[in-house]
Amino acid sequence: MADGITLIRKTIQIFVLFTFSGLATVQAETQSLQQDKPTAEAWQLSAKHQGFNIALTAITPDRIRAFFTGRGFPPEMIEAIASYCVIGTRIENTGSLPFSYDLSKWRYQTADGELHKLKIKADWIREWREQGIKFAFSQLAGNPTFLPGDWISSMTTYKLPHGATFDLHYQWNINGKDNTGIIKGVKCAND
Amino acid sequence: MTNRIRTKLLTLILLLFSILMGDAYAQEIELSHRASPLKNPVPSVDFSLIDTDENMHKFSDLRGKVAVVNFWAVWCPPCREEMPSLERLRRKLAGKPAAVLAINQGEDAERILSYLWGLDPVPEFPILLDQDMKVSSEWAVTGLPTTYIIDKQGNIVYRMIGGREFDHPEIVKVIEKLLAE
Repeated sequence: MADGITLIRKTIQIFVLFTFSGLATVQAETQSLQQDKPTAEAWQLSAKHQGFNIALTAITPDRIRAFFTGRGFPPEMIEAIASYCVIGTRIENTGSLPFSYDLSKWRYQTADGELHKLKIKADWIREWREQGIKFAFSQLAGNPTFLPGDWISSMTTYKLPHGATFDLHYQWNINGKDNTGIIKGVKCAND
Repeated sequence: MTNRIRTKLLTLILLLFSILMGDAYAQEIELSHRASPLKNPVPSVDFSLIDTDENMHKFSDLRGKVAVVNFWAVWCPPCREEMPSLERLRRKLAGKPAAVLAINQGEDAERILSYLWGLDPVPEFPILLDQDMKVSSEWAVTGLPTTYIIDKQGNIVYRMIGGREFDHPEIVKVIEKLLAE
Protein backbone atom coordinates (compact mmCIF):
# COMPACT_ATOMS: atom_id res chain seq x y z
CA MET A 1 0.00 0.00 0.00
CA ALA A 2 2.78 2.37 1.05
CA ASP A 3 4.69 1.48 -2.12
CA GLY A 4 1.62 2.29 -4.19
CA ILE A 5 1.22 5.69 -2.56
CA THR A 6 4.92 6.41 -3.06
CA LEU A 7 4.63 5.44 -6.72
CA ILE A 8 1.63 7.74 -7.23
CA ARG A 9 3.44 10.58 -5.44
CA LYS A 10 6.58 10.10 -7.51
CA THR A 11 4.58 9.89 -10.72
CA ILE A 12 2.87 13.19 -9.90
CA GLN A 13 6.19 14.77 -8.89
CA ILE A 14 7.80 13.70 -12.15
CA PHE A 15 4.80 14.95 -14.11
CA VAL A 16 4.89 18.30 -12.33
CA LEU A 17 8.61 18.74 -12.72
CA PHE A 18 8.66 17.74 -16.33
CA THR A 19 5.69 19.99 -17.02
CA PHE A 20 7.05 23.05 -15.24
CA SER A 21 10.77 22.74 -15.82
CA GLY A 22 10.83 21.41 -19.35
CA LEU A 23 13.41 18.83 -18.44
CA ALA A 24 11.81 15.92 -20.21
CA THR A 25 15.00 15.36 -22.19
CA VAL A 26 16.66 13.48 -19.34
CA GLN A 27 16.81 9.81 -20.23
CA ALA A 28 17.55 6.91 -17.98
CA GLU A 29 17.74 3.19 -18.34
CA THR A 30 16.87 2.76 -14.71
CA GLN A 31 14.20 1.18 -12.64
CA SER A 32 13.11 4.48 -11.16
CA LEU A 33 13.45 8.07 -12.17
CA GLN A 34 12.75 11.12 -10.12
CA GLN A 35 13.60 14.78 -10.01
CA ASP A 36 13.68 16.52 -6.69
CA LYS A 37 14.08 20.17 -7.50
CA PRO A 38 12.57 22.21 -10.33
CA THR A 39 15.78 23.94 -11.36
CA ALA A 40 17.75 23.60 -14.55
CA GLU A 41 20.46 21.28 -13.25
CA ALA A 42 18.90 19.75 -10.17
CA TRP A 43 17.65 16.46 -11.51
CA GLN A 44 18.12 13.03 -10.16
CA LEU A 45 18.51 9.63 -11.73
CA SER A 46 18.34 6.50 -9.66
CA ALA A 47 18.42 2.75 -9.98
CA LYS A 48 17.27 0.17 -7.50
CA HIS A 49 18.61 -3.35 -7.50
CA GLN A 50 18.34 -6.17 -4.97
CA GLY A 51 19.73 -4.42 -1.88
CA PHE A 52 21.83 -1.93 -3.88
CA ASN A 53 20.46 1.53 -4.64
CA ILE A 54 22.27 4.28 -6.49
CA ALA A 55 21.11 7.84 -7.15
CA LEU A 56 22.83 10.64 -9.08
CA THR A 57 22.45 14.39 -8.95
CA ALA A 58 24.49 16.88 -10.95
CA ILE A 59 26.22 19.54 -8.85
CA THR A 60 26.84 22.96 -10.38
CA PRO A 61 30.41 24.31 -10.50
CA ASP A 62 29.32 27.25 -8.34
CA ARG A 63 28.16 24.90 -5.61
CA ILE A 64 31.46 23.04 -5.86
CA ARG A 65 33.36 26.31 -5.56
CA ALA A 66 31.27 27.33 -2.54
CA PHE A 67 31.72 23.96 -0.82
CA PHE A 68 35.50 23.78 -1.18
CA THR A 69 35.96 27.48 -0.40
CA GLY A 70 34.16 26.76 2.86
CA ARG A 71 36.61 23.94 3.56
CA GLY A 72 39.57 26.29 3.11
CA PHE A 73 40.87 24.90 -0.17
CA PRO A 74 43.28 27.04 -2.22
CA PRO A 75 41.70 28.75 -5.26
CA GLU A 76 43.70 26.70 -7.80
CA MET A 77 42.47 23.41 -6.36
CA ILE A 78 38.91 24.70 -6.15
CA GLU A 79 39.00 25.56 -9.84
CA ALA A 80 40.61 22.21 -10.63
CA ILE A 81 37.70 20.38 -8.97
CA ALA A 82 35.08 22.74 -10.41
CA SER A 83 36.45 22.12 -13.90
CA TYR A 84 35.29 18.51 -13.61
CA CYS A 85 31.78 17.21 -14.09
CA VAL A 86 30.79 16.52 -10.48
CA ILE A 87 27.90 14.21 -9.73
CA GLY A 88 26.39 13.83 -6.28
CA THR A 89 26.24 10.07 -5.81
CA ARG A 90 24.18 8.30 -3.20
CA ILE A 91 24.76 4.61 -2.46
CA GLU A 92 22.49 2.71 -0.11
CA ASN A 93 22.31 -0.83 1.21
CA THR A 94 18.62 -1.66 1.48
CA GLY A 95 19.17 -5.40 1.64
CA SER A 96 20.09 -7.89 4.32
CA LEU A 97 23.63 -8.67 3.13
CA PRO A 98 26.77 -6.53 3.05
CA PHE A 99 27.97 -5.37 -0.35
CA SER A 100 31.09 -3.70 -1.62
CA TYR A 101 31.91 -1.79 -4.75
CA ASP A 102 35.15 -0.77 -6.39
CA LEU A 103 35.11 2.64 -8.05
CA SER A 104 38.23 1.77 -10.03
CA LYS A 105 36.03 -0.69 -11.94
CA TRP A 106 33.35 1.88 -12.76
CA ARG A 107 33.41 3.48 -16.20
CA TYR A 108 31.64 6.32 -17.93
CA GLN A 109 30.79 6.07 -21.59
CA THR A 110 30.82 9.16 -23.75
CA ALA A 111 28.84 9.75 -26.94
CA ASP A 112 31.71 8.37 -29.06
CA GLY A 113 31.30 4.99 -27.34
CA GLU A 114 34.62 5.25 -25.45
CA LEU A 115 34.75 4.00 -21.85
CA HIS A 116 36.70 6.08 -19.33
CA LYS A 117 37.85 5.66 -15.74
CA LEU A 118 36.49 8.01 -13.09
CA LYS A 119 38.85 10.24 -11.14
CA ILE A 120 38.47 8.52 -7.78
CA LYS A 121 38.94 9.61 -4.18
CA ALA A 122 42.49 8.23 -3.92
CA ASP A 123 43.51 10.37 -6.92
CA TRP A 124 42.10 13.53 -5.33
CA ILE A 125 43.54 12.76 -1.89
CA ARG A 126 47.00 12.31 -3.43
CA GLU A 127 46.77 15.76 -5.07
CA TRP A 128 45.36 17.34 -1.91
CA ARG A 129 48.14 15.92 0.26
CA GLU A 130 50.77 17.23 -2.18
CA GLN A 131 49.33 20.69 -1.54
CA GLY A 132 49.15 20.20 2.22
CA ILE A 133 45.36 19.83 2.29
CA LYS A 134 44.28 17.50 5.11
CA PHE A 135 40.62 17.29 4.15
CA ALA A 136 39.66 13.70 3.39
CA PHE A 137 35.93 13.75 2.70
CA SER A 138 33.38 14.73 0.04
CA GLN A 139 34.56 12.20 -2.57
CA LEU A 140 32.83 8.82 -2.71
CA ALA A 141 34.92 6.16 -0.98
CA GLY A 142 36.77 3.98 -3.45
CA ASN A 143 36.30 0.46 -2.17
CA PRO A 144 34.14 0.30 0.96
CA THR A 145 31.87 -2.36 2.38
CA PHE A 146 28.31 -1.26 3.10
CA LEU A 147 26.50 -3.12 5.83
CA PRO A 148 22.69 -3.38 5.77
CA GLY A 149 21.25 0.07 6.51
CA ASP A 150 24.40 1.93 5.44
CA TRP A 151 24.15 4.79 2.99
CA ILE A 152 26.27 7.72 1.87
CA SER A 153 25.97 10.76 -0.35
CA SER A 154 29.28 11.91 -1.81
CA MET A 155 30.76 13.22 -5.03
CA THR A 156 32.05 11.37 -8.08
CA THR A 157 34.06 13.22 -10.71
CA TYR A 158 34.29 12.86 -14.48
CA LYS A 159 36.71 14.63 -16.80
CA LEU A 160 33.99 16.03 -19.02
CA PRO A 161 32.89 19.51 -20.04
CA HIS A 162 30.04 21.09 -18.13
CA GLY A 163 26.74 20.19 -19.73
CA ALA A 164 28.11 16.96 -21.24
CA THR A 165 26.09 13.74 -21.14
CA PHE A 166 27.36 10.23 -20.43
CA ASP A 167 26.28 6.74 -19.42
CA LEU A 168 27.53 5.43 -16.09
CA HIS A 169 28.56 1.77 -15.92
CA TYR A 170 28.69 0.78 -12.25
CA GLN A 171 29.56 -2.38 -10.37
CA TRP A 172 28.96 -3.84 -6.94
CA ASN A 173 29.66 -7.15 -5.26
CA ILE A 174 27.38 -9.18 -3.02
CA ASN A 175 28.41 -12.54 -1.63
CA GLY A 176 31.46 -12.68 -3.89
CA LYS A 177 29.39 -12.13 -7.03
CA ASP A 178 29.97 -9.07 -9.21
CA ASN A 179 26.88 -7.26 -10.47
CA THR A 180 26.71 -4.44 -12.99
CA GLY A 181 24.29 -1.74 -14.02
CA ILE A 182 24.08 1.24 -16.37
CA ILE A 183 22.46 4.61 -15.87
CA LYS A 184 22.07 6.27 -19.23
CA GLY A 185 21.85 9.93 -20.02
CA VAL A 186 23.59 11.38 -16.97
CA LYS A 187 23.93 15.10 -17.61
CA CYS A 188 26.70 17.20 -16.09
CA ALA A 189 25.59 20.54 -14.67
CA ASN A 190 26.10 23.64 -16.78
CA ASP A 191 28.48 26.35 -15.56
CA MET B 1 -16.71 26.16 -15.65
CA THR B 2 -16.77 29.64 -14.15
CA ASN B 3 -13.58 31.55 -13.52
CA ARG B 4 -14.17 31.30 -9.75
CA ILE B 5 -14.41 27.51 -9.80
CA ARG B 6 -11.45 27.29 -12.16
CA THR B 7 -9.38 29.46 -9.78
CA LYS B 8 -10.37 27.33 -6.78
CA LEU B 9 -9.53 24.14 -8.66
CA LEU B 10 -6.17 25.51 -9.73
CA THR B 11 -5.45 26.61 -6.14
CA LEU B 12 -6.36 23.13 -4.88
CA ILE B 13 -4.11 21.46 -7.46
CA LEU B 14 -1.20 23.78 -6.62
CA LEU B 15 -1.74 23.14 -2.90
CA LEU B 16 -1.70 19.40 -3.51
CA PHE B 17 1.47 19.72 -5.58
CA SER B 18 3.14 21.88 -2.95
CA ILE B 19 2.35 19.27 -0.28
CA LEU B 20 3.74 16.52 -2.47
CA MET B 21 6.86 18.52 -3.26
CA GLY B 22 7.28 19.44 0.38
CA ASP B 23 7.15 15.76 1.16
CA ALA B 24 9.80 15.12 -1.46
CA TYR B 25 12.05 17.71 0.14
CA ALA B 26 11.42 16.28 3.61
CA GLN B 27 12.40 12.84 2.37
CA GLU B 28 15.73 14.03 1.01
CA ILE B 29 17.49 12.90 4.17
CA GLU B 30 15.95 9.78 5.53
CA LEU B 31 17.71 8.50 8.60
CA SER B 32 18.16 4.77 8.84
CA HIS B 33 17.69 2.94 12.13
CA ARG B 34 19.51 -0.22 11.21
CA ALA B 35 22.64 -1.21 13.09
CA SER B 36 24.52 -4.11 11.58
CA PRO B 37 27.23 -5.88 13.57
CA LEU B 38 30.72 -6.21 12.16
CA LYS B 39 31.43 -9.81 11.19
CA ASN B 40 34.78 -9.55 12.93
CA PRO B 41 34.98 -7.00 15.77
CA VAL B 42 38.18 -4.96 15.71
CA PRO B 43 40.01 -3.32 18.62
CA SER B 44 39.46 0.43 18.71
CA VAL B 45 42.47 2.71 18.29
CA ASP B 46 43.11 4.89 21.33
CA PHE B 47 43.27 8.66 20.97
CA SER B 48 43.43 11.84 23.01
CA LEU B 49 41.52 14.87 21.76
CA ILE B 50 40.33 18.14 23.26
CA ASP B 51 36.65 19.05 23.25
CA THR B 52 35.02 22.40 22.44
CA ASP B 53 35.73 23.54 26.04
CA GLU B 54 39.39 22.55 25.67
CA ASN B 55 39.09 19.59 28.05
CA MET B 56 41.24 16.61 27.12
CA HIS B 57 39.56 13.24 26.55
CA LYS B 58 41.44 9.95 26.34
CA PHE B 59 39.30 7.34 24.66
CA SER B 60 40.70 4.37 26.61
CA ASP B 61 39.38 6.02 29.82
CA LEU B 62 35.96 4.80 28.67
CA ARG B 63 37.01 1.14 28.96
CA GLY B 64 34.28 -0.74 30.82
CA LYS B 65 31.58 1.37 29.17
CA VAL B 66 29.66 0.90 25.94
CA ALA B 67 30.63 3.86 23.76
CA VAL B 68 28.89 5.43 20.78
CA VAL B 69 31.46 7.34 18.73
CA ASN B 70 30.15 9.58 15.96
CA PHE B 71 32.37 11.16 13.28
CA TRP B 72 30.74 14.25 11.80
CA ALA B 73 31.02 17.80 10.44
CA VAL B 74 28.66 20.77 10.38
CA TRP B 75 28.87 20.93 6.57
CA CYS B 76 27.49 17.38 6.32
CA PRO B 77 23.64 17.43 6.06
CA PRO B 78 22.95 13.91 7.42
CA CYS B 79 25.35 14.62 10.31
CA ARG B 80 23.21 17.61 11.25
CA GLU B 81 20.03 15.63 10.81
CA GLU B 82 21.05 12.85 13.19
CA MET B 83 22.73 15.02 15.87
CA PRO B 84 19.60 15.64 18.03
CA SER B 85 18.92 11.90 18.13
CA LEU B 86 22.41 11.34 19.58
CA GLU B 87 21.53 13.62 22.49
CA ARG B 88 18.19 11.88 22.97
CA LEU B 89 20.12 8.59 23.05
CA ARG B 90 22.52 10.00 25.65
CA ARG B 91 19.56 10.93 27.83
CA LYS B 92 18.07 7.44 27.46
CA LEU B 93 21.38 5.93 28.56
CA ALA B 94 21.88 8.28 31.53
CA GLY B 95 22.98 6.43 34.67
CA LYS B 96 24.19 3.40 32.69
CA PRO B 97 27.81 2.50 31.92
CA ALA B 98 27.59 4.08 28.49
CA ALA B 99 29.05 7.13 26.77
CA VAL B 100 28.20 9.14 23.68
CA LEU B 101 30.75 11.35 22.00
CA ALA B 102 31.05 13.06 18.65
CA ILE B 103 34.30 13.77 16.86
CA ASN B 104 34.17 16.77 14.56
CA GLN B 105 36.28 16.73 11.43
CA GLY B 106 38.45 19.79 10.93
CA GLU B 107 36.11 22.61 11.94
CA ASP B 108 36.75 25.26 14.56
CA ALA B 109 35.00 25.31 17.94
CA GLU B 110 33.24 28.62 17.27
CA ARG B 111 31.52 27.33 14.14
CA ILE B 112 30.62 24.06 15.85
CA LEU B 113 29.16 25.72 18.95
CA SER B 114 27.14 28.26 17.00
CA TYR B 115 25.54 25.32 15.20
CA LEU B 116 25.03 23.14 18.30
CA TRP B 117 23.39 25.91 20.34
CA GLY B 118 20.61 26.07 17.76
CA LEU B 119 19.67 22.42 18.24
CA ASP B 120 16.82 21.00 20.26
CA PRO B 121 17.91 19.26 22.37
CA VAL B 122 21.34 20.89 22.66
CA PRO B 123 23.95 18.09 22.82
CA GLU B 124 25.50 17.70 26.26
CA PHE B 125 27.93 14.97 25.28
CA PRO B 126 31.55 15.86 24.48
CA ILE B 127 32.25 17.24 21.03
CA LEU B 128 35.88 16.42 20.31
CA LEU B 129 38.01 18.22 17.75
CA ASP B 130 39.89 16.08 15.25
CA GLN B 131 41.51 19.09 13.64
CA ASP B 132 43.95 17.24 11.40
CA MET B 133 41.48 14.34 10.81
CA LYS B 134 44.11 11.89 12.04
CA VAL B 135 41.73 9.98 14.31
CA SER B 136 39.15 9.49 11.56
CA SER B 137 41.91 8.13 9.36
CA GLU B 138 43.06 5.72 12.09
CA TRP B 139 39.47 4.62 12.60
CA ALA B 140 39.09 3.98 8.86
CA VAL B 141 36.27 6.48 8.40
CA THR B 142 35.51 6.59 4.66
CA GLY B 143 32.60 9.03 4.72
CA LEU B 144 30.54 11.24 7.00
CA PRO B 145 28.68 10.55 9.12
CA THR B 146 30.14 7.29 10.39
CA THR B 147 29.30 5.98 13.84
CA TYR B 148 30.84 3.13 15.78
CA ILE B 149 29.53 1.24 18.79
CA ILE B 150 32.31 -0.03 21.03
CA ASP B 151 31.79 -2.75 23.62
CA LYS B 152 33.02 -2.66 27.21
CA GLN B 153 36.27 -4.35 26.17
CA GLY B 154 37.08 -1.60 23.68
CA ASN B 155 36.21 -3.53 20.53
CA ILE B 156 34.32 -1.96 17.63
CA VAL B 157 31.29 -4.22 17.28
CA TYR B 158 28.96 -2.11 15.13
CA ARG B 159 29.69 0.37 12.36
CA MET B 160 27.08 2.59 10.74
CA ILE B 161 27.78 4.63 7.61
CA GLY B 162 25.18 7.32 6.92
CA GLY B 163 22.69 9.13 9.12
CA ARG B 164 20.84 7.23 11.82
CA GLU B 165 17.98 7.88 14.23
CA PHE B 166 20.03 6.87 17.25
CA ASP B 167 17.22 6.83 19.78
CA HIS B 168 15.20 4.44 17.63
CA PRO B 169 14.24 1.33 19.65
CA GLU B 170 16.21 -0.90 17.28
CA ILE B 171 19.49 0.90 17.99
CA VAL B 172 18.75 1.36 21.71
CA LYS B 173 18.10 -2.40 21.92
CA VAL B 174 21.53 -3.11 20.42
CA ILE B 175 23.20 -0.90 23.01
CA GLU B 176 21.22 -2.32 25.91
CA LYS B 177 22.20 -5.81 24.82
CA LEU B 178 25.87 -4.77 24.92
CA LEU B 179 25.35 -3.16 28.33
CA ALA B 180 23.95 -6.44 29.64
CA GLU B 181 26.96 -8.46 28.47
